[in-house]
Amino acid sequence: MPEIVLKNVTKKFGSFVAVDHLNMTISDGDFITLLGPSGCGKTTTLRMIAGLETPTEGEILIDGTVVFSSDKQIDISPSKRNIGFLFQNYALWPHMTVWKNISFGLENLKWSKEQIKERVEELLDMLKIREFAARYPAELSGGQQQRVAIARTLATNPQILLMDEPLSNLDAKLRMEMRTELKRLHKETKATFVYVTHDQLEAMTLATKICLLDKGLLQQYQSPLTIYGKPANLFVADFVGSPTMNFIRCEAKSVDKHTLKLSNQVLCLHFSASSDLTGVTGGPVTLGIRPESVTLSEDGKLKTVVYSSLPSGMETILRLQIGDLLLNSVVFGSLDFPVGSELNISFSGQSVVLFDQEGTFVTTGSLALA
Amino acid sequence: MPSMAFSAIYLSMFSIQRGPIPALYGTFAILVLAGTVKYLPFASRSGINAMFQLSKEIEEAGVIMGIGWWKRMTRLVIPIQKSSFISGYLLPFTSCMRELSLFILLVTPANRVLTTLLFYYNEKGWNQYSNGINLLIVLIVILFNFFVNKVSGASIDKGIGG
Repeated sequence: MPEIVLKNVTKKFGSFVAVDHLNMTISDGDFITLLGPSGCGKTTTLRMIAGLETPTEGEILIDGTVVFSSDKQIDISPSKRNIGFLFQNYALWPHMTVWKNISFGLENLKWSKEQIKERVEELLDMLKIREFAARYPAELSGGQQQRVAIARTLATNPQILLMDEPLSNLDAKLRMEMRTELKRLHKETKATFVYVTHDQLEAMTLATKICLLDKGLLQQYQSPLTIYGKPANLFVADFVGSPTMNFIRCEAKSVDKHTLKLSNQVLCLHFSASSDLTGVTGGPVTLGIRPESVTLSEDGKLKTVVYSSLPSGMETILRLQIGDLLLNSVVFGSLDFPVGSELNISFSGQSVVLFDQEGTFVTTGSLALA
Repeated sequence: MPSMAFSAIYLSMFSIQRGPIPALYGTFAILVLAGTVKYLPFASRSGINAMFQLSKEIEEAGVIMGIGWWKRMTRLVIPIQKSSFISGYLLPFTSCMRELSLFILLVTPANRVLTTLLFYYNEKGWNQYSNGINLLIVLIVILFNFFVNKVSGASIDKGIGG
């Protein structure tokens, strides 16, 4: 069964390091997203797995066979890696009809006419593009082209499907639809999906595991909810989640094994950790509070001023000011607050994250006003 | 480079046999050669620009499916670029049709081209003849342009089209 293993893969463009000693195992049937800001090496990583880009160093194994190794001078051509690749701009062949676009790869594999007909019809039904079979790509909308591109990629039955920001050219509504579709396809085809995106929401909703990259370095490789709840460092915490996590820098003082007293110019807080606080006894730390943990409450002791209010119907995103500190908060329900009005808040839940001085994850816990 | 100087080079280079290349002076081949080399930059420029327009993903999609180089060229790249390739031929053709100075040193009485014939008649003072040839050149260019436009959908006045 196809399992992709990357060992110490490095790619340099001149002196610029695009991917830096990446180690990763993608197990069979996974839906992995490579996530990160633009220029972090995610597309390069995908293209290296596909064989369209040659790594400078390292080893790549697909399904137990070495497809690339800089030491052993192995570089198997993309066509022999049993992969499908979905391009960002779809790369449909403009001079061929939809039918021909899908069948061309199969003809090349010397399938019989009946087999090709059967397979193409199966795909046309699967992706609901039967009525477009005789049309040319230029006569289709973005979403339809997208489906054709998926059908063409799936035609040869690849066990691994690599996708390079396939939804970034679609409008918001269609993107939502295609996401559902992709998840369904993943179930249906039982293939391993590797998906590149810079949209953290897309990564969160689709993936079984997210691989977060920054500047060519692997930041965290875990399930979406772990990444959301226990971000490995400040970069991950900041990148994932919208609106972004609130970061509060404070001085810590150890109270007991589970409790810290945290203070800065405007706040004085008690942090109760969910596990033992080994290592952190004092000094500067950073608190990460998700916007949904900043809740409005009548009896909350912390007074804030509304800096901005963005209602969207289902929820309202608030920016609240305490001294010179600004906090993001999400309030569910159709609510709006006048700018400048006063609100009382408290910190709820067990999911406040504590980072040490270097910005590395320490533990989670709950927060109370001192 | 001035056409006259260009043809002078060809005249001196190919008037005698050089290695495997026979003396080309007086043959039709040297006219083709000089015309080709002179207008190669125009033709290749339009071809290169057209290739830049084609995203590499179009070809990579073929690479991943295991489609060989030859088939990628003949079935994907050239059909997509058909019109720009043809207009790449058209531009040198129309320019070459009215070229006199390039050929005047290279022609012999045995293989005249229209422009040198025109020059010859004009020199003799046979103005009606030279006017007729002039008209012929114009007609040939317009006809070819028209047919190429019809057949390929490409045209030099509309760019590479598609």
